[in-house]
Amino acid sequence: MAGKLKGRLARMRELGLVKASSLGSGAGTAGAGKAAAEGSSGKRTAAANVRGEAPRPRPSFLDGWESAGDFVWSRIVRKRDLLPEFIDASPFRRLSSGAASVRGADAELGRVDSYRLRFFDFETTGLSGGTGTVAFLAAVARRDGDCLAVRQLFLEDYPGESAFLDALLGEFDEETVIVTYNGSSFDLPLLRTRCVMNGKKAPARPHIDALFAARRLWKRVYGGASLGLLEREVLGVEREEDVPGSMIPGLFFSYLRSGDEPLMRAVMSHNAEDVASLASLLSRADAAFAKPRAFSGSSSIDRAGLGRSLIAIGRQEEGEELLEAALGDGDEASGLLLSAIYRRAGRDDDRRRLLGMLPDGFRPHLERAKFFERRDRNFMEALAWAKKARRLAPTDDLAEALERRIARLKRRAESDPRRAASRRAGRRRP
Amino acid sequence: MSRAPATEIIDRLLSDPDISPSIAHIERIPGREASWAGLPGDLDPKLARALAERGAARLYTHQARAYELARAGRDFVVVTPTASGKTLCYNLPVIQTLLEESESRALYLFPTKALSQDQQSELNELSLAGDLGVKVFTYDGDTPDSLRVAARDTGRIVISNPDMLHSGVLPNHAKWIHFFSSLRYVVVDEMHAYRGIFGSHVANVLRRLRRIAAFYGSSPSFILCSATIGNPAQLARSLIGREAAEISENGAPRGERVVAFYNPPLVDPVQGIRKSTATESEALAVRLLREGVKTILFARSRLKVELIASYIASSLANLYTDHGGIKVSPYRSGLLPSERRAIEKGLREGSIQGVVSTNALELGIDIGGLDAAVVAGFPGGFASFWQQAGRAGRRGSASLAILVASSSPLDQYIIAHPEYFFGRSPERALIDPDNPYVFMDHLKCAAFELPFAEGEPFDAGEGEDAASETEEGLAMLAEEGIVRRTGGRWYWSADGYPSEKISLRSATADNVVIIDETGGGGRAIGEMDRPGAKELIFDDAVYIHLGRQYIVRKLDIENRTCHVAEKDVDYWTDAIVKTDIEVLTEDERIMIGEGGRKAAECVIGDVLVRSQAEKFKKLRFHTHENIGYGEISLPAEEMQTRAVALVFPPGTAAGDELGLSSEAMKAAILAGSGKLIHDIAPAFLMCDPRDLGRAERVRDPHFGVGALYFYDKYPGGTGLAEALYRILGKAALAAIERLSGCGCSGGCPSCVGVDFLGPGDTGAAPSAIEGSAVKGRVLALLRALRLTSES
Repeated sequence: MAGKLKGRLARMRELGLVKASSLGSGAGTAGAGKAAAEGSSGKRTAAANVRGEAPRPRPSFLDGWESAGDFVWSRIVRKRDLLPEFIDASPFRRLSSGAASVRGADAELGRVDSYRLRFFDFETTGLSGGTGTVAFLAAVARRDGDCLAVRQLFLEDYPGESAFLDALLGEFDEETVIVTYNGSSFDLPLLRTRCVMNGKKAPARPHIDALFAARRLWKRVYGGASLGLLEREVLGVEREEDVPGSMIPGLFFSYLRSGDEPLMRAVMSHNAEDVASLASLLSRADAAFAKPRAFSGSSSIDRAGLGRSLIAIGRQEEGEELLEAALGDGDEASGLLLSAIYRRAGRDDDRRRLLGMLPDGFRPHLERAKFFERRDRNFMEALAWAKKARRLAPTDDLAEALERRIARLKRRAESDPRRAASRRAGRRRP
Repeated sequence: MSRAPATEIIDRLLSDPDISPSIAHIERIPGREASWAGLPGDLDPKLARALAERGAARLYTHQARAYELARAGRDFVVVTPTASGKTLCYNLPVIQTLLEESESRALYLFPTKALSQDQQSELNELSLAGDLGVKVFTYDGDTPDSLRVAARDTGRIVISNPDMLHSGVLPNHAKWIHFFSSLRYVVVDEMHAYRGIFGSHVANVLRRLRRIAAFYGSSPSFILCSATIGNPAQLARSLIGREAAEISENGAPRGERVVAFYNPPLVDPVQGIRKSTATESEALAVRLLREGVKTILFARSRLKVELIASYIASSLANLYTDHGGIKVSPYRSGLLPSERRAIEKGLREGSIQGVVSTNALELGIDIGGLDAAVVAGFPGGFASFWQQAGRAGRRGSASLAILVASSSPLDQYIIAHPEYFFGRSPERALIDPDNPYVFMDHLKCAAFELPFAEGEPFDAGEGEDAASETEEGLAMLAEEGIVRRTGGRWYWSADGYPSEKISLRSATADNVVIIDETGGGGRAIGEMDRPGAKELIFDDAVYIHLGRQYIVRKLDIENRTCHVAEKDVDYWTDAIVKTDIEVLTEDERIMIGEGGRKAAECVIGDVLVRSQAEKFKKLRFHTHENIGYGEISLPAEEMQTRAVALVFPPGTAAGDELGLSSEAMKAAILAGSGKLIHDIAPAFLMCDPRDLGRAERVRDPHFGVGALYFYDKYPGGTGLAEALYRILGKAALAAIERLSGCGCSGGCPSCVGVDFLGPGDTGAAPSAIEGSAVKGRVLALLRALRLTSES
């Protein structure tokens, strides 16, 4: 029936049936509530929105920004930050080899001139990677002498996206290496999607996602690896009046509807601070990988994580040193990992020495029992450790397994020549 | 165990003195030889070889025709019953094209994950894909992340389902750029499953799909496959938005089919009470199973499935013979997917000999061939009946389908009129893609996927109206702040992900999870939709799952959980639901009648329906006697939907007829008429009686006079109310026939019912009303309607 749907929709609107339907759901913080609460000015702007009115005066938060195209604005902010001459990219690349990176950039990265780095972060209208999520703010930072030059791009309204992307892609020329924080899961796939939506080719550049290294170096020490946390704890930076990330999409929509939103200033600073901290964290991480031994006495870095990472990328000696340092401070897991490494390599002397350093505990005692049984063939010693482990067994299953081990060790100890000798010598064994 | 040939067993059963008196009719449908066509001339030799290896040197005629149409890029629907080689209708042309064009892609859609997974194995088995380098991937909720990238980038055939397309693929279409740029075919199998609300949603998902394909510059053609329905080409057109050709001549061979009607004997002719359908069906099934016949029994509801399966189990129970070596399993939705897979496998492999199922097994899941189908109660549609009956029959051998009538007026009508049953054409599948709620849901998703240009239609309605309807919808979204109109386009401007809150299958996306707490545990054993939960698993209800009984300890609607504990009881529970109706709009008001005399008025519009389950009955197993009541305290369900109301103002023939009676009698007449029409109408609509709600008012608050409402049980409507209006004449005639031919004295379940208060609850005590008088007055009312049989 012609016009039937339109009539029913119109009637639904009139009767206020709109609310009773699912219309308002699934829209997240459209700011629908905000629009209603805004009173008459909000209503007028919503109506204006529908009628598609002409462009509005420049919003207050764009003071100091320059036009970079239709509906696109740009500015450059300088931050004090001395990056090293070179960054050794290989640890970062190899630690994140499981994650998808920018396609086509398969070159094995080694030492990278820090002028080539582009630290990059988006602010977006949502967290899903779907085609309805738009990036409205981008920050790309690069080294500029002893400073960091942060170029920011702001999308004033949706029609400007093509120009916005052109300006952004222009920052990633041929020799550049993109650095992000969690960009392999979020920012880069989003950039690819926005390029597809606008018929552009996404850049194919090597990519370093600093998150992977950051987790290994700092997560266990500070309980997390979010950029905000590590900025505070590792870099010692306290932001004044920062805006929480969850509010950001809503603020952008609020600006779109009403033409201005003072808090957008804070969003822009937040974005610039994010890339500045990203650059600093990368430097710190690079320093840790460049001279790991210098950190063996440090408690502000996860030495076990650093040690494990070094071993994972083939720097065995340094890794072991860091793991031993961690063990020295009581980290049982590092000790057990080292024991396994030594065991696989047949380095019995190193292992014996290590076992002496292990703290007391169920797994260390078990490890000792295993060593003495298999490598040392000293069943009495092994039995002693097995009994100690049994006393500390945390679950019934493990306790049972140990009972079996103890029984076996008893049998083997019976026929152990050393036991016969010690009996003859009249010594008692535990 | 060796077995007599099928025909012998069938004849023996039907002439058994215990059974044959209740057999109302036997129809023998002869078998059919195959009609052949040659292999297409342009077929790649590797493909021809792969076919030969499977013993197929020729094609059935419908397969050849499908190949022709597909290769010509035409949209079309192939209508075939099960086991007629329909997958070759699409696999052959698709793979041939994919071999010729190295970049081309195809999308296969199945209604369920199980069917997709079936198809993937079929393609692999064919080993066409493997040897010919055509990569096939299943892409659904179970696909691990590691495979998803490969599927998107390199998958030439991607197998999925509408739900995944809706919430996983389309909103992330940029990741599928290679796929959509070269998409040549979209295969929609089991098209008949896309009716009602599900179909209305899927039609919109396909609108979004076509829109996105166009964005990437491709225009795939559609190949649809359907079981027999009355309007395949029309349904196809509604789903894909374009005209589709139809292939309905089936070239596959078929064994002889025997269809028998069984009417359970009367135990009380005066009261019109018959032996229960459940027990009679169970007895027939057991009889067949004992003869070594693989049998499927179709029951009308999940509850009945569990009841009948337990009746069968107790009949067969005999530890000495391990239950006669016969294993029977219940099958329904609400079982965990792994449980359903295991049952399907058992049927295919023969470790399970019988299954009791709801229409969940109507869809084409491969369960091997069965020999007999017992259909317990007419399934509310001829198409459904034939699909269910069609489950029985292995290629070449005879099969038996027995319809066991229930006491409903519809079933009794059918039993009395086999010529009607076998002569009629199957019902039409109805969808309403422009149901406003559905339309708006998908408009949101579409805006998220791609901004709308000014004046761009979201394919709603016909021609020029589509653009303005779309604009109306977008304007509503803009008022909510969800989209923003600027620079000549409408952009998504919210931070949500719309498709994740929209379910294609139920009123709300949230199901209630059923948790077994027996012995202090907490294991999820099943799930149910929220409205269903309020009527089936309220506190103290008996819930049956795979034959085990549980008592509901607590239904926690807020948190969508239901806590049950195992308990052996000898009764089950049935809720009594009260319904309240508020008229919201009157879209059409039609005066009905003929020869210048108005009979009654008919109004179509939107209504608000409030349902409340307040009490429940406890019914003993087997005898179904009422042994008590219980209370239910749950909030009412509210929904807005389409309805058709029959209104009886004085001055009309029906209104005057009604006016002759007392208030109390009016209530009884309206309740009886409403029940009768409601129960019989599904014979002419492709719906289950449970898809249609009814309510009666002696003095309706809106119309001021007596009224009968029939409403679509799905929010926003699925076209059912409008369709009911169109067939009202036929339904009334059938109702008159049923009633005048009914042998009961004072009303019975097979005509006007016995509960004269009805769901409207208009207040008069039943004892004051005389049953035979009610029957007479209802007849008079229906005759006064004097509706034409035009539709």
